[in-house]
Amino acid sequence: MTKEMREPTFAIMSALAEGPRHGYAIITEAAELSGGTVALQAGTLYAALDRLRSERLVEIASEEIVQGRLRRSFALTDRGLEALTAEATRRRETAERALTRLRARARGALA
Amino acid sequence: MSGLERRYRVAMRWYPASWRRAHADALLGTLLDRADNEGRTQPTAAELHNLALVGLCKRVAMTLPWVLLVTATAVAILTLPLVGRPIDTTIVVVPMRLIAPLWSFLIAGGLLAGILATAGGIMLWRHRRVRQGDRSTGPGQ
Repeated sequence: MTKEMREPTFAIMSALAEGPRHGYAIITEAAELSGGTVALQAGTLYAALDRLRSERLVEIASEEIVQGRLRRSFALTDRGLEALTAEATRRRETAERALTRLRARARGALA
Repeated sequence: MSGLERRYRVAMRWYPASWRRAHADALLGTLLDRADNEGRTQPTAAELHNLALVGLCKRVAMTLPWVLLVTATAVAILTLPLVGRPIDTTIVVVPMRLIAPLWSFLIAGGLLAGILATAGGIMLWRHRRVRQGDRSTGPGQ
């Protein structure tokens, strides 16, 4: 997985990391997980889910009718789980490198 | 059907029919969940714009391969007279050869623009008609 993952994609997949979620839950959890930077409209979310399903990173987990409306739940596939793990690790490593440099700068300023 | 649901369904007409058959109910469920949570009985302007934009993109994505096929065929037909033509006079042939591909591109471009404009026109017309139909039957709330 060398392809860079964009912020909304990362937030959507992170929202599914714990288990299957339905549309509105993905919207609220993506907002929460991204610290409010990813504010998804339903149309955008479903477009992203279409793409993620075509890339076999996400799948439809279940469908149920709640109060007369369809509630479709989505889940990460094994491939999706792998891709999210790789991306989260990559992001952590990038952040750590930046922090290491900042610490070095702070030490340099002290010396 | 509530007035809110009806308005969302009208907005989802921007999407291709095949997409709607498979996903409209799920998308509608999410839109209604959110409206309930936010205590709304009307769609937001942002939601409506988003549905129009994403729906239009889906339509373009669905018709683009077909448009490209038509364009490629048009180019092939238009450049056919150039194939295997003997070179008689450089004065005539060289400018012809320079202009000919341009022509085919212009015509192909015109075709493409025409197809997109027609598709857009039909969609706008249908969209308006649905809205008018909505108005004449009154809000469903």
